[in-house]
Amino acid sequence: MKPSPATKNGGYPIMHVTDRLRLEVTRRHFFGRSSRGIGTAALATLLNPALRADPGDPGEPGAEAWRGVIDPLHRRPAAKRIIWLYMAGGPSHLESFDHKPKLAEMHGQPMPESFTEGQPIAQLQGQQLRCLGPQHPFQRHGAAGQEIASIFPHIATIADRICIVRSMVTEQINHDPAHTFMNTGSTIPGRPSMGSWLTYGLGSDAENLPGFVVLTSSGGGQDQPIAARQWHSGFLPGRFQGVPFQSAGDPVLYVGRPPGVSPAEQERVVRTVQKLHKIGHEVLDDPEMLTRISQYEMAFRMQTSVPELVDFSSEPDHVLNMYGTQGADGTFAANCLLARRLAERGVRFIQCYHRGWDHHGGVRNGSAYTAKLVDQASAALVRDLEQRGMLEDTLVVWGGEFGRTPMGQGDGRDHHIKGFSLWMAGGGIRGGITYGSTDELGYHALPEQRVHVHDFHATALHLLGIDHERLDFRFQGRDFRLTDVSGQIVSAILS
Amino acid sequence: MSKLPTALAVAALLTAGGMVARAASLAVAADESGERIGFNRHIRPILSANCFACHGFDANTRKADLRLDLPSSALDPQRDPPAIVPGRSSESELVRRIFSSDPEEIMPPPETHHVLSGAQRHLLREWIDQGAEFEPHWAFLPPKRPADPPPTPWDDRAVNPIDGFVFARLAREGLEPSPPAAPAIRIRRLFLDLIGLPPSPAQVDAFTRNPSPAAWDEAVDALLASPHFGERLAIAWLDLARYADTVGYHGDQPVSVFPYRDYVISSFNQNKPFDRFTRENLAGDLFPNPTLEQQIASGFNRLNMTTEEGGSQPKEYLAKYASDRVRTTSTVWLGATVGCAECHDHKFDPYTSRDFYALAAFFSDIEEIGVYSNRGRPPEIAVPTRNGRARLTELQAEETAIRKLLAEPSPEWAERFEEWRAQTRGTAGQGADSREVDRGELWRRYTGGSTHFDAYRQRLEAIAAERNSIAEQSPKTLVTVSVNPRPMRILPRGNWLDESGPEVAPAIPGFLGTLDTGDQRATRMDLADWILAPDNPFTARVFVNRLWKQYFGTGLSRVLDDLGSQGEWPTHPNLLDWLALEFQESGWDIKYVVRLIVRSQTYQQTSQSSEAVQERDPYNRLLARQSRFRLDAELVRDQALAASGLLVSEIGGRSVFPYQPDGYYQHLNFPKRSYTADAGSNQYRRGLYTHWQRTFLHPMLKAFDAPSRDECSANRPRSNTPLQALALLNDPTFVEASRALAAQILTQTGPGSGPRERLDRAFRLSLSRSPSPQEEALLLEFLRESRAEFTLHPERAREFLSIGQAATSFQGDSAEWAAWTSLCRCLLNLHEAVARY
Repeated sequence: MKPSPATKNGGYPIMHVTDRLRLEVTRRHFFGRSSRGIGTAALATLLNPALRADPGDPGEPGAEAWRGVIDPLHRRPAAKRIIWLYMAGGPSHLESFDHKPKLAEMHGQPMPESFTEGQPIAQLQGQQLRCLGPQHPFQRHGAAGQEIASIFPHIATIADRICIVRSMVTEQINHDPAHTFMNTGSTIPGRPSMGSWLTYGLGSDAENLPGFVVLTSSGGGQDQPIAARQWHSGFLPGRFQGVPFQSAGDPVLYVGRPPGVSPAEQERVVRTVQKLHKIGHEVLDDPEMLTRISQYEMAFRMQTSVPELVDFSSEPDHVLNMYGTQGADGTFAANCLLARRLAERGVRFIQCYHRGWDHHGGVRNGSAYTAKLVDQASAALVRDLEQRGMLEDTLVVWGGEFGRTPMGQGDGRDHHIKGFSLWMAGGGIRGGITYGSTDELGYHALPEQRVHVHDFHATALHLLGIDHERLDFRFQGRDFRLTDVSGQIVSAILS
Repeated sequence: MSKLPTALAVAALLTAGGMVARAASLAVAADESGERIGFNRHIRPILSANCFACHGFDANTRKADLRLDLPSSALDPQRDPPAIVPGRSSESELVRRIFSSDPEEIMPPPETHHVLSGAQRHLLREWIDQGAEFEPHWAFLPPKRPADPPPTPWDDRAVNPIDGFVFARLAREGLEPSPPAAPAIRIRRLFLDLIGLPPSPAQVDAFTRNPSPAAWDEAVDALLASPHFGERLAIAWLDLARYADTVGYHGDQPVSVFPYRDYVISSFNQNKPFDRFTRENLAGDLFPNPTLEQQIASGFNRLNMTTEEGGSQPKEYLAKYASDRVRTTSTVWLGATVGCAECHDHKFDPYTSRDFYALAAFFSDIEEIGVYSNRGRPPEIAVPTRNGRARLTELQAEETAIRKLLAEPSPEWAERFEEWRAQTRGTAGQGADSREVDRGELWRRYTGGSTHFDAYRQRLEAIAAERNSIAEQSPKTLVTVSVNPRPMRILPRGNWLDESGPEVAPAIPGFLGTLDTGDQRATRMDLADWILAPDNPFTARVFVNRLWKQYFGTGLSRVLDDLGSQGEWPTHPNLLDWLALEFQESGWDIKYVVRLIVRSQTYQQTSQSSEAVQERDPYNRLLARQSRFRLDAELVRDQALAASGLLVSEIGGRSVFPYQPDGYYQHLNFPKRSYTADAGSNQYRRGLYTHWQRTFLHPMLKAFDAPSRDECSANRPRSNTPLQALALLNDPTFVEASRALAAQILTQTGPGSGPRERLDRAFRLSLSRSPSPQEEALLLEFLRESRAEFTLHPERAREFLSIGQAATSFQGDSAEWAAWTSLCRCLLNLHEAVARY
């Protein structure tokens, strides 16, 4: 291959170089160059698998944008991206989407042992278990008459867009492992999160931004800690980990120039680093240097794209008002708008955590308070996406790591994993339906339509065109999947 | 094509080119080359990946009662039809099924998504025709001392048998070793690999002037003796041991266990034999009268994540801690994924669910609770500082002297005592039995009644108080304390709520034998003894394989945490066994093995790759050259600090807090956390001393792939991401280092020096080499532009030059300094500055 003219003259247009690099890296790292057909290297690879392309480092060398390992997709995708409004702490299904009149009748009475015997219990261990009736009234909304609690007046207005799932179950009853399970399908730390699986499998269309972004806001409950392992890439390469945006300081860690460094000076540094890498590569012939060049390019672009992303001045007032925000200030409302802006820019997986749903006491006021912080913006996001024609290929998920007990913990509720609710909307989801149910007291999800976390994962992957059984990665001798060895697609909720 | 030498090559073509028609030539060619198809090398990987899940170890998922891992089942002539008939593939059902085109019949079944390639099917058939010989899995057999490798044309270059084994493989593959790397690169590599710090320009010059083998050996010995050797080697061990400064779950509260980290560093520095190190880690508390060091070492068993989240069920968490220890112990020493047997028998290796819980039972004597409160993680002990220890020794001596004095009369008191004894004979307390009251007792009575001795008694109290106060002020560390073992049950499907499973006693995996401990329950020390037994097939191999990774970028078997069926057949099995036996027989001497490796010609080769080698072996598994790879996260930091002269190279101590972006801990809670960067010398400590917050690891370390250490991890990935670029560009640590490096250059080279001289200095400090003319031209131009910018905007220069706490030693023109700082930023951002060549 001849060097392109761009490298011969003194000028060094960075954008051109990438293309050249892509070719160079490809040339270096795929054995069979066309002129020789199957190269001699190929012979060494079969009987000595050690010489095969290293599966531990997919994407390395990675001068090219990552296009995902699933090519072509396993099925026609219904959605291209996911925005997950993650209600951390465990929102009460009984004060949101699972209406239980019988529980109101039983208010204050002992919880029948038939429900609770042999079940795992968190903070109510060893205490007398009494029913706590729903703390907020429910009304029917939309053409389909979806039952939604009064503390979600805005979500009520999109009742016909959303599919409520009332029959979620999970396996972990404490926040930290339950988050880990919800995000990675395992309680053992070190497994990749769903966003990492998706960016590994599908790549990302974002040119100047990471493919997996995490936004976090708080207020209203006990503000559960959210560990970075929730967006970690586990045993997948580090490039697939989620990038958290900060609400204070630089939106992305280290994206801001050092004090006293003008944009021009920063650019001078970056371009010089690039040129030095280029010179270095000619001497040392190290493909990692080419990768470095493309990563510095991306980093440099992020220094412009991230501030531009979080600058809402281009958003008209009616949009800001719809979400209920004025600027990217770290509130849930701002993060929802940021999520839409990220989605527009091709980001594959966006998680907006809200940390305020852990209502062990005062669930009436607590849930109302936290609902107020998220309700308007959640609905606004769905509407906004719809108005932009993006809802049809965006899967929006609203839900947390578990629900809350029908039994009171004082005037609050404890963690509950045997039945809870979430909703989904958008790409490939049938709006205006409720799927599954819990028993009359809201304790157990009824088995016929029970949706396990693995089922939820399988369904989400399915919507993005992935067969969850075929997105795997060899680690410690085993082909791991997001859905472990289970996962049933919940076909009834698909449009 | 005409070059293709062996049958194996033909088989390779079949896969790559799909030229199934040429399969017939396979058998012939295989005979010609004398290379038979080996079960372990060629067949087991195919069966393991595609067949064992249903025809292997796990009885619960086994189909058709057929095991392809066992010849007794696979070759059973009673089966109808027989699965495998040795020598007769056409009569073997296995062959019929893998070649079938009927979706109902074909193996593996379509729903498994496993598909055998054409070549794999032909290999299986050929292997059966060659006699279907099974072999036990290589890693389950103890290492054997291999025959000497055959001679090669390069034997005169060989330094030790490592080269012999590597050269032999190269000869077989039609490749040849590369020449040694240029001296400057080579010496830098050695420094980075052995101590993780770059050589000084003077050290580079010295070796470049005299790059003789003797000078190399001298450098090797000096670095092995450096106190930084232990720091460098500790990094990988701390990943394995899942060492961190916080508890990991939920609120991720801090816990003090850094003395364990310092123990690891000092053990490697002392070259403590690995067998002793192992026993101390697993069972330090079980030594008779364990020393402080052994107790600290036993903290290994307590480095798992723990919780204090409200509403956690103690039994559930005890089960989590138990399984963590099985995963950790089996990964660290056995390179085995026994963790997979928590819910069911292992699918690929002969570990049963019982084995999992029997291993867990070794640790059920560890004193602990499932759910902790208020940040305590007892049991812990105080580890006095060096001064504290000195003072304790003094106090001990003083106390001994006083107690001796109080225990029996010294010559000067003897006379007065005898007088008193005579006077008091027959009075109270000395009745008829006075002959039996011994002299010591009487002396105690005498001193007890004498005010003269009050001062001594008071002194004893003061000593006790001071000792307590030293203990209180001393850092604490978690230790293992052995208590009455909790019962360990097999948990069906790993479900901690299900108590129906049988109780198990501590035992090693059944297929590897049993421990003979008589009537005694086997202890962690027994486990350690078995791990270190001369015929244990794993321990030495696992360790030397990981060392190899440190010095070549990849293990001889690439999968560092799994030497089982699903692991990788080593590229150089004989070399791996030879090294393992050298390690064992040297008395588990780590420095001896490291010295062997880094003295070898193989190690010293250039990492430059010819096109042919690059095409043939892009991942450098055959070692026709050295590898080049990015440094570990901690060392990335160390390079900047070392080049700039800011590095404070003190060893050990509490973990430190480098600069970190504000608000990074904002989503931590219980309690809320704020972060205050260390002031003074602790700001400039090596990366491995960074406060390891599991849930929010320092973002620069995280960007460069340091693991959170939630779990034992044997293999760090090496990614190359934009976040790394952002960290190197904008993290104040690197900007400050650039400023200090610039100040150093400007000061050291003196005001009369030209920019070329200064640039040379900057390169030598950061990259251990001089710039090329091209680089020089580029950077001098950069310098002009940057200087112009800062001259025009002195306020920017001021702001830029005040990043970081370090006092400045440069008083000259600040635009000049700022421009050089900018230039140094460029250098510290180079891949070459954070990689090893």
